[in-house]
Amino acid sequence: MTLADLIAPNAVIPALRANSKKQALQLLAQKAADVTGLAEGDILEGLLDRERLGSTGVGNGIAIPHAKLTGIDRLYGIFARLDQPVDFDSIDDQPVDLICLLIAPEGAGADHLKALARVSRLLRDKSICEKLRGATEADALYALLLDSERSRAA
Amino acid sequence: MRVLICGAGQVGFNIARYLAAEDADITVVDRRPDLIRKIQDQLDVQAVVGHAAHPATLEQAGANTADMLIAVTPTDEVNMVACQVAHSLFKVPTKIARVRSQSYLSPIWADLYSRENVPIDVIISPEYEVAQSVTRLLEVPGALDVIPLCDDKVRLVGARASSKCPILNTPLRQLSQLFPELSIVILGIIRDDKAWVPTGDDIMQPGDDVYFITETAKTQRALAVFGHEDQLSSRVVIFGGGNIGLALAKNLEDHPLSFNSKLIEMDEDRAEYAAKTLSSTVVIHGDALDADILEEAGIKTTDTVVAITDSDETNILASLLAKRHGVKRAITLTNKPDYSRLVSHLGIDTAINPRDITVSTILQHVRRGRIHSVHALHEGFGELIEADALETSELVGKSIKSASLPHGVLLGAIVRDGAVIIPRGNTTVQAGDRVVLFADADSIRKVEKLFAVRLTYI
Repeated sequence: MTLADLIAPNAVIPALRANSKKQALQLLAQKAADVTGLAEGDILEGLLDRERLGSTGVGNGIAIPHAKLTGIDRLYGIFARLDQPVDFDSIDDQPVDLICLLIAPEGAGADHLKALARVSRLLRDKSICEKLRGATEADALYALLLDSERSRAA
Repeated sequence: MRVLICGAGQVGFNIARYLAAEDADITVVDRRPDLIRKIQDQLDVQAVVGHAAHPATLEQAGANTADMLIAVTPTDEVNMVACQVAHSLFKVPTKIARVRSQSYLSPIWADLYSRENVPIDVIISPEYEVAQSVTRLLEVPGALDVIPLCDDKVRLVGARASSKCPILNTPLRQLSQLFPELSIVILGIIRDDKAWVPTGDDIMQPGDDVYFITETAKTQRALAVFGHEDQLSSRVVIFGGGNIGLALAKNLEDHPLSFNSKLIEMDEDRAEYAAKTLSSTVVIHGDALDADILEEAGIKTTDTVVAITDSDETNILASLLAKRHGVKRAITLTNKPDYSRLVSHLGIDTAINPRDITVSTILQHVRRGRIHSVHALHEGFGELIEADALETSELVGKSIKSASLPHGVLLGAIVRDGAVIIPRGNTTVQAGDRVVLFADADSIRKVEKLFAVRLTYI
């Protein structure tokens, strides 16, 4: 599975405006509801439940919130670049401005882990993050994501 | 964390004070400008004057970015509507409301509270919770505090070390060798109003108040070690027929240990109402400070008095009077923090602190991790946290010795597959264990980190 399978072109938000972690997750849940057809409230609840166990802010301004939900049959990803960084209780206490959200079907153990690993590997690359932060259009962000993955694989 | 508190009364004020002491952003809303002024003078919080359920007020108070709304105005309906507005218009994730009316609380209507109906995640009933806590104290003679944990398999017990206590003058690290039968973990010692988490070198002295964890079945044995082999006090007189007094009297009427209780209430109408509501409790209309009334209540043959009127001063004086009449144990409610420090010096046995009790229910939803319960102990001394040890968390897989828990943190108990383990240095926490940890106020953040799972936890 590649990022292209995970993130659809319409699942990219180029300049999300949020002034708190809660608002960022809520707007992402809204987008995820459009993309997956699940109820926004269920998605948000799943994400908040997971955050309570430990923040998915992995440092360097990156967060990978994720949740398992019933009613879907595959993994979905949403990518957002934030207008302004928000506090995310990250492990390095730095505010977050790049978020990749993952929604997995209940029972997708290994696939879910692989997707998480793939996304976190990609976003650990600082030069890729710099490019993503510089992009302001959804198309450009999407192309960058796919290109980066391809060039890393090569 | 951003928290919006509706209601700046006693309950709201105490929650705000506790949460503001950590770095939570607190906004308090109340209709009464005098209460808002008072809270702004005394605490580092934002405050808004306005109706707690009105959308415009909540918006002004920052409901849009709030992580939690705590509605504790005196009116059930205002609290419920505040939660509804916060949910429907501002998508506040966690909503907590104080609901007092028994009709709203009856289990048969529990379906009322859901995201589709009235979206309240947690209902708090401070008076009911205080009554529960007094009931537990009456069940365990000799204890200053009793908190059930892990489905009441384990308990936190507070006790005063009497001079008969055989484990005095011994460094704690030697206790398990000298008393192999005694499987307790001592989490806190309070001496001269100073509370601390003990190390192995600490030595208990007579008069110390000691908090310890024990297996529930061994509570009496543990209390005996502290010099308490008190008899069950079945004859109880309650001072004050308010909500707490009535709830307590009902608890005792229905209790399997047969209590014999009387209730003294000053207000005539209220006394009449209490008499009608209660069945076996004898209700006396009168003043608990009046010697004739105390005599009528049979004070000379009473084991325990519970003073829970709405006046701290009446509670303290009536308790002292009762003690002079030979009552063995006085349990006394005080709302003012200064008084609760005073009462043990006066000879009152147990001070009930409604602040800790209410804050505890809220903290369960503030602390991060898979938390089952949180209990604030002794006016901000620290918190007892009952939570699951999850895969990938720092706590799992290391022996307690090598995990090097932060200073001020102690592991009290582990429940694994239904069995209680009282931890020693070589005990290892496993994924899936239910653990009870105590952290003093400075270490709570570190405990939250210990429980936190890694990114790969799914």
